[in-house]
Amino acid sequence: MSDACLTQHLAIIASRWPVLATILSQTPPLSSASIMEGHCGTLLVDGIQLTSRHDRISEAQQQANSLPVKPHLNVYGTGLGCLPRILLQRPTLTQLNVFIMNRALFLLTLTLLENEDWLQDPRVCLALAADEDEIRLPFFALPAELRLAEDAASGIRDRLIREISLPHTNRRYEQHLPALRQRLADNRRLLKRDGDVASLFASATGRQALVIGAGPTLKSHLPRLQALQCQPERPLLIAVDTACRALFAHGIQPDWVVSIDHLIDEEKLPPADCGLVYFPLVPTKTLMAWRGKRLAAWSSSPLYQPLRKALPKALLYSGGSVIHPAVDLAVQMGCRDVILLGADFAFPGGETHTGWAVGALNTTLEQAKHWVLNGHDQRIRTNISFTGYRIQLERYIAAHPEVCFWNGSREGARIADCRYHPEFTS
Amino acid sequence: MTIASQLTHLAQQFRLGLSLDAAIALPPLMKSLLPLLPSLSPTAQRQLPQIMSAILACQEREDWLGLADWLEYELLHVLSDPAPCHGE
Repeated sequence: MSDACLTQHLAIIASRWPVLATILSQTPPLSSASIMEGHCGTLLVDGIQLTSRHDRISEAQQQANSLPVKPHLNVYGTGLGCLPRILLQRPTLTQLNVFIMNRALFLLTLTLLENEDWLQDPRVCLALAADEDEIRLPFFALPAELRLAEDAASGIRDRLIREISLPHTNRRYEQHLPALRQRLADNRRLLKRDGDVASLFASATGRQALVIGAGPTLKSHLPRLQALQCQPERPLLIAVDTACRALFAHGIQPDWVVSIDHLIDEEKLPPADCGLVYFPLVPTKTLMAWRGKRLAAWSSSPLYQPLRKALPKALLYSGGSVIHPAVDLAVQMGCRDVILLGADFAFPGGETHTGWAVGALNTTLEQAKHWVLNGHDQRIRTNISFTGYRIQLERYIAAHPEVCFWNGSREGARIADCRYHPEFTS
Repeated sequence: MTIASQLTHLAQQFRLGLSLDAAIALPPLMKSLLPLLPSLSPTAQRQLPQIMSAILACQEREDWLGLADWLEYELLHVLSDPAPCHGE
Protein backbone atom coordinates (compact mmCIF):
# COMPACT_ATOMS: atom_id res chain seq x y z
CA MET A 1 0.00 0.00 0.00
CA SER A 2 1.07 3.61 -0.24
CA ASP A 3 0.52 7.30 0.29
CA ALA A 4 -2.32 7.05 -2.23
CA CYS A 5 -3.96 4.58 0.10
CA LEU A 6 -3.61 7.07 2.98
CA THR A 7 -5.07 9.86 0.84
CA GLN A 8 -8.07 7.70 0.00
CA HIS A 9 -8.65 6.83 3.65
CA LEU A 10 -8.29 10.45 4.73
CA ALA A 11 -10.84 11.48 2.10
CA ILE A 12 -13.41 9.16 3.71
CA ILE A 13 -12.55 10.51 7.15
CA ALA A 14 -12.78 14.09 5.87
CA SER A 15 -16.24 13.47 4.47
CA ARG A 16 -17.54 11.87 7.67
CA TRP A 17 -15.52 13.52 10.42
CA PRO A 18 -13.99 16.73 8.99
CA VAL A 19 -12.53 18.02 12.28
CA LEU A 20 -10.81 14.71 12.89
CA ALA A 21 -9.40 14.70 9.35
CA THR A 22 -7.85 18.15 9.93
CA ILE A 23 -6.26 16.98 13.18
CA LEU A 24 -4.92 13.83 11.53
CA SER A 25 -3.49 15.78 8.61
CA GLN A 26 -1.42 17.78 11.12
CA THR A 27 -0.09 14.69 12.88
CA PRO A 28 3.62 13.97 12.39
CA PRO A 29 4.36 10.43 11.14
CA LEU A 30 5.43 7.65 13.47
CA SER A 31 9.21 7.56 13.67
CA SER A 32 9.89 3.94 14.58
CA ALA A 33 7.90 1.01 13.27
CA SER A 34 8.81 -2.18 11.46
CA ILE A 35 7.12 -5.24 10.03
CA MET A 36 7.13 -8.30 12.28
CA GLU A 37 7.24 -11.48 10.24
CA GLY A 38 4.88 -14.41 10.88
CA HIS A 39 2.16 -16.35 9.06
CA CYS A 40 0.40 -13.05 8.35
CA GLY A 41 2.84 -10.47 9.75
CA THR A 42 2.07 -7.39 11.79
CA LEU A 43 3.54 -4.05 12.83
CA LEU A 44 6.13 -3.84 15.58
CA VAL A 45 6.24 -0.46 17.34
CA ASP A 46 8.62 0.17 20.24
CA GLY A 47 8.99 -3.58 20.69
CA ILE A 48 5.22 -4.10 20.89
CA GLN A 49 3.30 -6.16 18.33
CA LEU A 50 0.17 -4.36 17.20
CA THR A 51 -1.72 -7.63 16.56
CA SER A 52 -0.92 -11.33 16.31
CA ARG A 53 1.81 -11.94 13.75
CA HIS A 54 0.33 -15.35 12.91
CA ASP A 55 -3.44 -15.05 12.80
CA ARG A 56 -4.85 -11.61 13.50
CA ILE A 57 -8.34 -12.54 12.29
CA SER A 58 -8.67 -15.34 14.83
CA GLU A 59 -7.30 -13.00 17.50
CA ALA A 60 -9.85 -10.31 16.64
CA GLN A 61 -12.60 -12.95 16.64
CA GLN A 62 -11.65 -13.94 20.19
CA GLN A 63 -11.63 -10.30 21.22
CA ALA A 64 -15.02 -9.72 19.60
CA ASN A 65 -16.44 -12.79 21.35
CA SER A 66 -15.55 -11.27 24.72
CA LEU A 67 -17.97 -8.41 24.04
CA PRO A 68 -21.68 -8.81 24.83
CA VAL A 69 -24.35 -8.61 22.14
CA LYS A 70 -25.44 -5.00 22.52
CA PRO A 71 -26.58 -2.34 20.04
CA HIS A 72 -23.78 0.07 21.10
CA LEU A 73 -20.18 -1.08 21.49
CA ASN A 74 -16.89 0.72 22.00
CA VAL A 75 -13.44 -0.19 20.75
CA TYR A 76 -10.32 1.58 22.02
CA GLY A 77 -7.53 1.36 19.50
CA THR A 78 -7.87 0.66 15.81
CA GLY A 79 -5.20 -2.03 15.38
CA LEU A 80 -5.15 -3.20 11.78
CA GLY A 81 -8.91 -2.76 11.46
CA CYS A 82 -9.76 -6.41 12.19
CA LEU A 83 -11.84 -5.95 15.33
CA PRO A 84 -14.17 -3.22 13.97
CA ARG A 85 -14.61 -5.30 10.81
CA ILE A 86 -15.65 -8.42 12.74
CA LEU A 87 -17.96 -6.52 15.11
CA LEU A 88 -19.71 -4.87 12.17
CA GLN A 89 -20.77 -8.33 10.99
CA ARG A 90 -23.21 -8.36 13.93
CA PRO A 91 -26.68 -7.45 12.65
CA THR A 92 -27.64 -6.35 16.19
CA LEU A 93 -24.99 -3.64 16.24
CA THR A 94 -26.34 -0.14 15.58
CA GLN A 95 -23.37 1.98 16.71
CA LEU A 96 -19.68 1.20 16.97
CA ASN A 97 -17.57 3.90 18.59
CA VAL A 98 -13.94 3.48 17.57
CA PHE A 99 -11.44 5.55 19.52
CA ILE A 100 -7.99 6.30 18.15
CA MET A 101 -5.41 5.77 20.92
CA ASN A 102 -2.39 6.90 18.91
CA ARG A 103 -3.02 9.08 15.87
CA ALA A 104 0.46 8.62 14.33
CA LEU A 105 0.07 4.84 14.58
CA PHE A 106 -3.43 5.06 13.10
CA LEU A 107 -2.10 7.04 10.13
CA LEU A 108 0.59 4.45 9.53
CA THR A 109 -1.97 1.63 9.46
CA LEU A 110 -4.05 3.67 6.99
CA THR A 111 -0.99 3.84 4.76
CA LEU A 112 -0.29 0.12 4.92
CA LEU A 113 -3.62 -1.67 4.82
CA GLU A 114 -7.10 -1.48 3.37
CA ASN A 115 -9.47 0.08 5.94
CA GLU A 116 -12.12 1.59 3.70
CA ASP A 117 -14.85 -0.95 4.44
CA TRP A 118 -15.22 -0.30 8.16
CA LEU A 119 -14.46 3.43 7.89
CA GLN A 120 -17.38 3.76 5.48
CA ASP A 121 -19.84 1.78 7.57
CA PRO A 122 -22.58 4.21 8.70
CA ARG A 123 -22.65 2.60 12.15
CA VAL A 124 -19.05 3.61 12.87
CA CYS A 125 -18.25 6.75 14.88
CA LEU A 126 -14.56 7.50 14.79
CA ALA A 127 -13.06 9.79 17.44
CA LEU A 128 -9.87 10.52 19.36
CA ALA A 129 -9.56 8.85 22.77
CA ALA A 130 -7.74 12.04 23.78
CA ASP A 131 -10.98 14.03 23.42
CA GLU A 132 -12.87 11.85 25.89
CA ASP A 133 -13.09 12.46 29.63
CA GLU A 134 -14.47 9.08 30.62
CA ILE A 135 -14.58 5.56 29.21
CA ARG A 136 -17.72 4.12 27.65
CA LEU A 137 -19.04 0.66 28.42
CA PRO A 138 -19.05 -2.03 27.13
CA PHE A 139 -15.64 -1.83 25.50
CA PHE A 140 -12.71 -3.75 24.18
CA ALA A 141 -9.30 -2.10 24.46
CA LEU A 142 -6.66 -3.51 22.15
CA PRO A 143 -3.84 -4.70 24.44
CA ALA A 144 -1.03 -3.32 22.26
CA GLU A 145 -2.61 0.12 22.03
CA LEU A 146 -2.83 0.40 25.80
CA ARG A 147 0.97 0.21 25.68
CA LEU A 148 1.31 2.48 22.64
CA ALA A 149 -1.20 5.20 23.63
CA GLU A 150 -0.13 8.75 22.82
CA ASP A 151 0.41 11.18 25.72
CA ALA A 152 -2.91 12.93 25.11
CA ALA A 153 -4.81 9.64 25.39
CA SER A 154 -3.14 8.60 28.65
CA GLY A 155 -6.12 9.72 30.77
CA ILE A 156 -8.49 7.36 28.94
CA ARG A 157 -5.83 4.65 28.79
CA ASP A 158 -5.51 4.74 32.59
CA ARG A 159 -9.27 4.48 33.04
CA LEU A 160 -9.37 1.51 30.66
CA ILE A 161 -6.55 -0.22 32.52
CA ARG A 162 -8.28 0.36 35.84
CA GLU A 163 -11.54 -1.08 34.53
CA ILE A 164 -9.76 -4.12 33.07
CA SER A 165 -7.71 -4.75 36.22
CA LEU A 166 -10.58 -4.30 38.70
CA PRO A 167 -11.75 -7.96 38.72
CA HIS A 168 -8.13 -9.03 39.27
CA THR A 169 -7.75 -6.58 42.18
CA ASN A 170 -11.04 -7.73 43.71
CA ARG A 171 -10.06 -11.38 43.44
CA ARG A 172 -6.77 -10.73 45.26
CA TYR A 173 -8.65 -8.83 47.96
CA GLU A 174 -11.04 -11.75 48.43
CA GLN A 175 -8.12 -13.99 49.41
CA HIS A 176 -7.78 -11.94 52.59
CA LEU A 177 -11.46 -11.98 53.51
CA PRO A 178 -11.30 -14.53 56.40
CA ALA A 179 -8.54 -12.52 58.13
CA LEU A 180 -10.41 -9.26 57.50
CA ARG A 181 -13.64 -10.65 58.99
CA GLN A 182 -11.69 -11.72 62.07
CA ARG A 183 -10.27 -8.19 62.35
CA LEU A 184 -13.78 -6.74 62.34
CA ALA A 185 -14.77 -9.12 65.11
CA ASP A 186 -11.66 -8.14 67.10
CA ASN A 187 -12.46 -4.43 66.75
CA ARG A 188 -16.14 -4.72 67.65
CA ARG A 189 -15.62 -3.68 71.28
CA LEU A 190 -13.65 -0.57 70.24
CA LEU A 191 -16.21 0.31 67.59
CA LYS A 192 -18.94 0.30 70.21
CA ARG A 193 -16.99 2.68 72.41
CA ASP A 194 -15.46 5.01 69.82
CA GLY A 195 -17.23 8.02 68.36
CA ASP A 196 -18.72 8.48 64.91
CA VAL A 197 -16.94 10.50 62.22
CA ALA A 198 -20.34 12.13 61.57
CA SER A 199 -19.66 14.30 64.66
CA LEU A 200 -17.06 16.16 62.56
CA PHE A 201 -19.27 16.78 59.55
CA ALA A 202 -19.96 20.48 58.81
CA SER A 203 -17.64 21.47 61.67
CA ALA A 204 -15.12 23.30 59.47
CA THR A 205 -17.42 25.11 57.06
CA GLY A 206 -15.52 27.55 54.87
CA ARG A 207 -12.11 26.54 56.20
CA GLN A 208 -9.28 25.67 53.89
CA ALA A 209 -8.01 22.09 54.24
CA LEU A 210 -4.60 20.67 53.54
CA VAL A 211 -4.92 16.96 52.84
CA ILE A 212 -1.51 15.43 53.28
CA GLY A 213 -0.53 12.24 51.46
CA ALA A 214 2.77 10.37 51.88
CA GLY A 215 4.08 10.81 48.32
CA PRO A 216 7.68 11.86 47.60
CA THR A 217 6.78 15.55 47.18
CA LEU A 218 5.53 15.82 50.78
CA LYS A 219 9.21 16.30 51.69
CA SER A 220 9.32 19.65 49.89
CA HIS A 221 6.33 20.94 51.90
CA LEU A 222 7.62 20.09 55.38
CA PRO A 223 9.26 23.49 56.10
CA ARG A 224 6.08 25.33 55.05
CA LEU A 225 3.92 23.01 57.14
CA GLN A 226 6.22 23.58 60.13
CA ALA A 227 5.77 27.33 59.74
CA LEU A 228 1.99 26.97 59.34
CA GLN A 229 1.82 24.96 62.55
CA CYS A 230 2.70 28.07 64.58
CA GLN A 231 0.11 30.36 62.99
CA PRO A 232 -3.04 31.02 65.05
CA GLU A 233 -5.38 30.78 62.05
CA ARG A 234 -4.12 27.96 59.92
CA PRO A 235 -5.87 25.61 57.52
CA LEU A 236 -7.28 22.33 58.74
CA LEU A 237 -4.60 19.63 58.51
CA ILE A 238 -5.77 16.13 57.59
CA ALA A 239 -3.01 13.56 57.06
CA VAL A 240 -3.00 9.98 55.87
CA ASP A 241 -1.44 7.49 58.26
CA THR A 242 1.79 6.83 56.37
CA ALA A 243 2.54 10.57 56.13
CA CYS A 244 2.66 10.82 59.92
CA ARG A 245 6.17 9.55 60.46
CA ALA A 246 7.63 12.41 58.38
CA LEU A 247 5.21 14.95 59.87
CA PHE A 248 5.88 13.93 63.49
CA ALA A 249 9.64 13.98 62.87
CA HIS A 250 9.26 17.66 61.93
CA GLY A 251 7.01 18.52 64.86
CA ILE A 252 3.92 18.83 62.67
CA GLN A 253 0.73 17.63 64.33
CA PRO A 254 -2.28 17.25 62.01
CA ASP A 255 -5.78 17.88 63.30
CA TRP A 256 -6.91 14.51 62.04
CA VAL A 257 -5.11 11.42 60.85
CA VAL A 258 -6.99 8.99 58.62
CA SER A 259 -6.18 5.28 58.60
CA ILE A 260 -8.00 2.49 56.76
CA ASP A 261 -5.59 -0.35 56.14
CA HIS A 262 -5.47 -3.73 57.89
CA LEU A 263 -1.65 -3.68 57.79
CA ILE A 264 -1.08 -0.35 59.57
CA ASP A 265 0.94 -1.29 62.62
CA GLU A 266 2.40 1.05 65.22
CA GLU A 267 5.60 1.43 63.23
CA LYS A 268 3.66 2.74 60.25
CA LEU A 269 1.43 4.90 62.44
CA PRO A 270 3.20 5.89 65.66
CA PRO A 271 0.79 6.79 68.51
CA ALA A 272 0.07 10.53 68.82
CA ASP A 273 -2.21 12.98 70.61
CA CYS A 274 -4.14 14.20 67.58
CA GLY A 275 -7.47 12.81 66.36
CA LEU A 276 -7.73 9.55 64.44
CA VAL A 277 -10.48 8.71 61.96
CA TYR A 278 -10.36 5.04 61.04
CA PHE A 279 -12.03 2.29 59.09
CA PRO A 280 -12.65 -0.78 61.24
CA LEU A 281 -9.94 -2.92 59.62
CA VAL A 282 -7.05 -1.05 61.27
CA PRO A 283 -5.27 -3.47 63.63
CA THR A 284 -6.67 -3.50 67.18
CA LYS A 285 -3.20 -2.92 68.67
CA THR A 286 -2.66 0.22 66.57
CA LEU A 287 -6.03 1.58 67.68
CA MET A 288 -5.46 0.72 71.35
CA ALA A 289 -2.06 2.45 71.31
CA TRP A 290 -3.46 5.70 69.86
CA ARG A 291 -3.38 8.46 72.48
CA GLY A 292 -5.74 10.97 70.87
CA LYS A 293 -9.45 10.87 70.17
CA ARG A 294 -10.69 8.04 67.94
CA LEU A 295 -13.64 8.28 65.55
CA ALA A 296 -14.76 5.40 63.36
CA ALA A 297 -16.22 5.47 59.85
CA TRP A 298 -17.40 2.87 57.37
CA SER A 299 -16.83 2.69 53.66
CA SER A 300 -19.44 1.28 51.28
CA SER A 301 -17.46 -1.99 51.03
CA PRO A 302 -19.72 -5.09 51.11
CA LEU A 303 -17.41 -6.44 53.81
CA TYR A 304 -18.75 -3.82 56.21
CA GLN A 305 -22.44 -4.30 55.40
CA PRO A 306 -23.29 -6.87 58.11
CA LEU A 307 -21.89 -4.70 60.93
CA ARG A 308 -22.99 -1.29 59.71
CA LYS A 309 -26.52 -1.64 61.06
CA ALA A 310 -25.45 -2.91 64.47
CA LEU A 311 -22.76 -0.25 64.89
CA PRO A 312 -23.90 2.77 62.91
CA LYS A 313 -21.21 5.26 61.87
CA ALA A 314 -21.11 7.58 58.89
CA LEU A 315 -19.66 6.61 55.53
CA LEU A 316 -16.52 8.06 54.00
CA TYR A 317 -15.73 7.64 50.33
CA SER A 318 -13.25 4.91 49.54
CA GLY A 319 -11.54 4.24 46.24
CA GLY A 320 -8.77 1.92 47.37
CA SER A 321 -6.37 4.43 48.92
CA VAL A 322 -6.47 6.23 52.26
CA ILE A 323 -6.26 9.53 50.37
CA HIS A 324 -9.94 9.10 49.33
CA PRO A 325 -11.51 9.08 52.83
CA ALA A 326 -9.04 11.80 53.88
CA VAL A 327 -10.27 14.05 51.07
CA ASP A 328 -13.90 13.12 51.72
CA LEU A 329 -13.45 13.96 55.42
CA ALA A 330 -12.28 17.48 54.48
CA VAL A 331 -15.24 17.91 52.13
CA GLN A 332 -17.80 16.53 54.60
CA MET A 333 -16.36 18.77 57.30
CA GLY A 334 -17.40 21.64 55.05
CA CYS A 335 -14.09 22.74 53.51
CA ARG A 336 -14.59 24.25 50.06
CA ASP A 337 -10.87 24.63 49.32
CA VAL A 338 -8.92 21.40 49.47
CA ILE A 339 -5.18 21.48 48.78
CA LEU A 340 -3.52 18.13 48.16
CA LEU A 341 0.07 17.74 49.34
CA GLY A 342 2.16 14.62 48.73
CA ALA A 343 -0.67 13.14 46.63
CA ASP A 344 1.67 12.14 43.82
CA PHE A 345 0.27 8.84 42.51
CA ALA A 346 3.69 8.31 40.95
CA PHE A 347 7.35 8.01 41.82
CA PRO A 348 8.94 11.40 41.12
CA GLY A 349 12.67 11.37 41.72
CA GLY A 350 12.68 7.56 41.89
CA GLU A 351 11.11 7.58 45.37
CA THR A 352 7.80 6.05 46.42
CA HIS A 353 7.00 7.82 49.71
CA THR A 354 8.31 10.53 52.03
CA GLY A 355 9.75 9.15 55.26
CA TRP A 356 10.00 5.57 53.99
CA ALA A 357 12.67 3.71 52.06
CA VAL A 358 11.60 2.36 48.68
CA GLY A 359 9.86 -0.98 49.33
CA ALA A 360 9.13 -0.30 53.03
CA LEU A 361 5.44 0.15 52.27
CA ASN A 362 5.33 -2.73 49.76
CA THR A 363 5.69 -0.43 46.77
CA THR A 364 8.78 -1.07 44.67
CA LEU A 365 10.18 0.59 41.58
CA GLU A 366 10.21 -2.74 39.71
CA GLN A 367 6.40 -2.52 39.63
CA ALA A 368 6.64 0.93 38.05
CA LYS A 369 6.24 -0.07 34.41
CA HIS A 370 3.46 2.40 33.84
CA TRP A 371 3.81 6.12 33.15
CA VAL A 372 1.77 9.23 33.74
CA LEU A 373 2.23 12.90 32.85
CA ASN A 374 3.33 15.29 35.59
CA GLY A 375 2.65 19.02 35.84
CA HIS A 376 5.49 19.75 33.42
CA ASP A 377 3.99 17.41 30.77
CA GLN A 378 6.81 14.95 31.36
CA ARG A 379 6.30 11.20 31.62
CA ILE A 380 7.07 9.93 35.12
CA ARG A 381 7.04 6.38 36.41
CA THR A 382 4.17 4.91 38.36
CA ASN A 383 2.31 1.64 38.83
CA ILE A 384 -1.19 0.43 38.05
CA SER A 385 -2.40 0.61 41.66
CA PHE A 386 -1.41 4.25 42.10
CA THR A 387 -3.01 5.05 38.75
CA GLY A 388 -6.25 3.39 39.83
CA TYR A 389 -6.26 5.45 43.04
CA ARG A 390 -5.74 8.66 41.06
CA ILE A 391 -8.62 7.86 38.74
CA GLN A 392 -10.96 7.23 41.65
CA LEU A 393 -9.90 10.56 43.14
CA GLU A 394 -10.52 12.26 39.79
CA ARG A 395 -14.00 10.74 39.70
CA TYR A 396 -14.64 12.01 43.23
CA ILE A 397 -13.43 15.49 42.25
CA ALA A 398 -15.68 15.49 39.17
CA ALA A 399 -18.63 14.60 41.41
CA HIS A 400 -17.93 17.58 43.74
CA PRO A 401 -17.94 20.71 41.58
CA GLU A 402 -18.81 22.77 44.67
CA VAL A 403 -15.27 22.22 46.03
CA CYS A 404 -12.02 23.75 44.69
CA PHE A 405 -9.34 21.09 44.58
CA TRP A 406 -5.69 22.12 44.32
CA ASN A 407 -2.58 20.14 43.59
CA GLY A 408 0.40 21.25 45.70
CA SER A 409 3.09 19.98 43.34
CA ARG A 410 3.85 19.73 39.65
CA GLU A 411 6.31 16.88 40.18
CA GLY A 412 3.73 14.17 40.86
CA ALA A 413 0.98 12.92 38.52
CA ARG A 414 -1.35 15.50 37.06
CA ILE A 415 -4.82 15.12 38.61
CA ALA A 416 -7.76 16.01 36.37
CA ASP A 417 -9.77 19.08 37.49
CA CYS A 418 -7.21 19.80 40.20
CA ARG A 419 -5.50 23.13 39.58
CA TYR A 420 -1.96 23.87 40.65
CA HIS A 421 -1.90 25.92 43.80
CA PRO A 422 0.07 29.11 43.18
CA GLU A 423 1.70 29.25 46.65
CA PHE A 424 2.53 25.60 47.10
CA THR A 425 3.85 25.12 43.56
CA SER A 426 5.98 28.27 43.61
CA MET B 1 -6.21 -29.62 31.13
CA THR B 2 -3.44 -30.68 28.72
CA ILE B 3 -0.34 -28.53 28.33
CA ALA B 4 -1.54 -27.59 24.84
CA SER B 5 -4.90 -26.38 26.07
CA GLN B 6 -3.25 -24.52 28.95
CA LEU B 7 -0.94 -22.70 26.52
CA THR B 8 -3.85 -21.83 24.23
CA HIS B 9 -5.93 -20.62 27.15
CA LEU B 10 -3.10 -18.48 28.48
CA ALA B 11 -2.46 -17.00 25.03
CA GLN B 12 -6.13 -16.13 24.80
CA GLN B 13 -6.04 -14.35 28.15
CA PHE B 14 -3.13 -12.20 26.90
CA ARG B 15 -5.03 -11.46 23.67
CA LEU B 16 -8.07 -10.38 25.68
CA GLY B 17 -6.00 -7.93 27.73
CA LEU B 18 -6.17 -10.01 30.91
CA SER B 19 -2.41 -9.77 31.34
CA LEU B 20 -2.44 -9.38 35.14
CA ASP B 21 -3.95 -12.81 35.69
CA ALA B 22 -2.11 -14.37 32.76
CA ALA B 23 1.30 -13.09 33.89
CA ILE B 24 0.78 -14.82 37.25
CA ALA B 25 -0.10 -18.12 35.56
CA LEU B 26 2.85 -17.95 33.14
CA PRO B 27 5.86 -18.88 35.37
CA PRO B 28 4.35 -22.09 36.81
CA LEU B 29 3.30 -23.17 33.34
CA MET B 30 6.81 -22.56 31.99
CA LYS B 31 8.26 -24.52 34.90
CA SER B 32 5.96 -27.45 34.18
CA LEU B 33 7.49 -27.74 30.69
CA LEU B 34 10.98 -28.59 31.92
CA PRO B 35 10.27 -32.27 32.72
CA LEU B 36 9.01 -32.67 29.15
CA LEU B 37 12.40 -31.72 27.70
CA PRO B 38 13.87 -35.29 27.47
CA SER B 39 10.83 -36.50 25.56
CA LEU B 40 11.36 -33.94 22.76
CA SER B 41 13.35 -34.27 19.57
CA PRO B 42 16.93 -32.88 19.58
CA THR B 43 15.78 -29.98 17.38
CA ALA B 44 12.92 -29.19 19.73
CA GLN B 45 15.27 -29.43 22.72
CA ARG B 46 17.52 -26.83 21.10
CA GLN B 47 14.62 -24.52 20.22
CA LEU B 48 12.83 -24.63 23.57
CA PRO B 49 15.32 -22.43 25.52
CA GLN B 50 15.26 -19.84 22.70
CA ILE B 51 11.48 -19.72 22.77
CA MET B 52 11.49 -19.46 26.55
CA SER B 53 13.82 -16.49 26.46
CA ALA B 54 11.72 -14.82 23.73
CA ILE B 55 8.67 -15.26 25.96
CA LEU B 56 10.50 -13.72 28.92
CA ALA B 57 11.63 -10.79 26.77
CA CYS B 58 8.02 -10.19 25.66
CA GLN B 59 6.91 -10.27 29.28
CA GLU B 60 9.62 -7.81 30.29
CA ARG B 61 8.54 -5.23 27.69
CA GLU B 62 4.84 -6.11 28.10
CA ASP B 63 4.40 -7.16 24.49
CA TRP B 64 1.38 -9.29 25.35
CA LEU B 65 0.32 -10.18 21.81
CA GLY B 66 3.88 -11.15 20.86
CA LEU B 67 3.95 -13.32 23.96
CA ALA B 68 0.61 -14.90 23.05
CA ASP B 69 1.97 -15.78 19.61
CA TRP B 70 5.08 -17.47 21.06
CA LEU B 71 2.89 -19.54 23.39
CA GLU B 72 0.21 -20.50 20.93
CA TYR B 73 2.30 -21.08 17.84
CA GLU B 74 6.07 -21.57 18.25
CA LEU B 75 5.99 -23.20 21.70
CA LEU B 76 3.02 -25.41 20.94
CA HIS B 77 4.68 -26.51 17.71
CA VAL B 78 7.95 -27.42 19.44
CA LEU B 79 6.16 -29.38 22.16
CA SER B 80 4.37 -31.45 19.56
CA ASP B 81 7.70 -32.63 18.11
CA PRO B 82 8.46 -35.86 20.04
CA ALA B 83 11.87 -37.49 20.35
CA PRO B 84 12.41 -40.42 17.95
CA CYS B 85 11.73 -43.70 19.70
CA HIS B 86 15.05 -45.51 20.47
CA GLY B 87 15.18 -49.18 19.62
CA GLU B 88 13.26 -48.75 16.39
